[in-house]
Amino acid sequence: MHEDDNLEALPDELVAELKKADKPGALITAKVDRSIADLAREQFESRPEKRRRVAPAWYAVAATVLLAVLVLPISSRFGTVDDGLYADVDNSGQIDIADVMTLARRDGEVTQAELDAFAMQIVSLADTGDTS
Amino acid sequence: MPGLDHLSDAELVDLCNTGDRGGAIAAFETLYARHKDYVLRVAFRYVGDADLALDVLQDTFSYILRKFPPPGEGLVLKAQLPTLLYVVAKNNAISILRKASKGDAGGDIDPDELPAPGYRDSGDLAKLLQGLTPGQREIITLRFVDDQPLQDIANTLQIPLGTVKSRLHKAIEAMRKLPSVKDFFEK
Repeated sequence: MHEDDNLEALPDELVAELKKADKPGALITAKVDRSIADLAREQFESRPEKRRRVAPAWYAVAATVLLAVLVLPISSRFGTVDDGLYADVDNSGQIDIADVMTLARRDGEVTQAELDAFAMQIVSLADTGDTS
Repeated sequence: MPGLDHLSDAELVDLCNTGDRGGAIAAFETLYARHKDYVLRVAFRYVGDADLALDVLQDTFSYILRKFPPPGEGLVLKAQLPTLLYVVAKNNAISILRKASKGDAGGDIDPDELPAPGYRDSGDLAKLLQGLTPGQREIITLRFVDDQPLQDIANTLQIPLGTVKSRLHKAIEAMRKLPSVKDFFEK
């Protein structure tokens, strides 16, 4: 009770009499209790369960796994090509056909397909003027 | 889920909002068991009839139940639960009286004659407070029977705290003159 709640008061006996007179006027039967319990069950059982909130960390893990599944096979397919291949092999200062020839002279180290891929890369770079 | 009696109203409401189905049902049943007698007494003050009071009780808890839609989006308590229950029970009682009035006499209750505690003469409380205005009966009942703090009464009646104090003062002065209770003031 707040401190100013006592400013207005009734005699204690009168308060007791008022409380005694405040009768419910009816009995809550078991049937009424059951009816409300049934309503509660109906309400809560019909509502959708709370969707589990996935922690942001799990989103990150899922995204990483997805990337690994999608990207790894691709990178592994080109894994033998990129190391040293898409590079200035002869240290001429640019990536050009001489690099291709240098690689080609390494017996068995570079397949024709890889050379073709590299050549396409050279062409592509040449088209943009980057290697000229 | 037995044993939720130790939880506060706010905690039980929270469980109704966020708990799984079993937990929400158990929490609601605990709230019902805790407050059903109070709601029934409030209802009877207004309708003065046992069957109608039980209807008000069911309507009141049904209303509260509907405030728990999808988990986490339900009722947010901004006041004490009894304050909310009082307002809901009162409105349901008025609604039921209006329907009964239409059914019985083909008319509606004048909004200025909305019932207040003890509106119907069948209750003992009504007899004790006979002679007070509906508003005076209501504020006396909220303060001294329900033991509501003044601020909660202000919330319940949607009036400023100062108005509550002023009305309470006038109601007590009026009670001093009531034949049914004036002897209590002279003891």
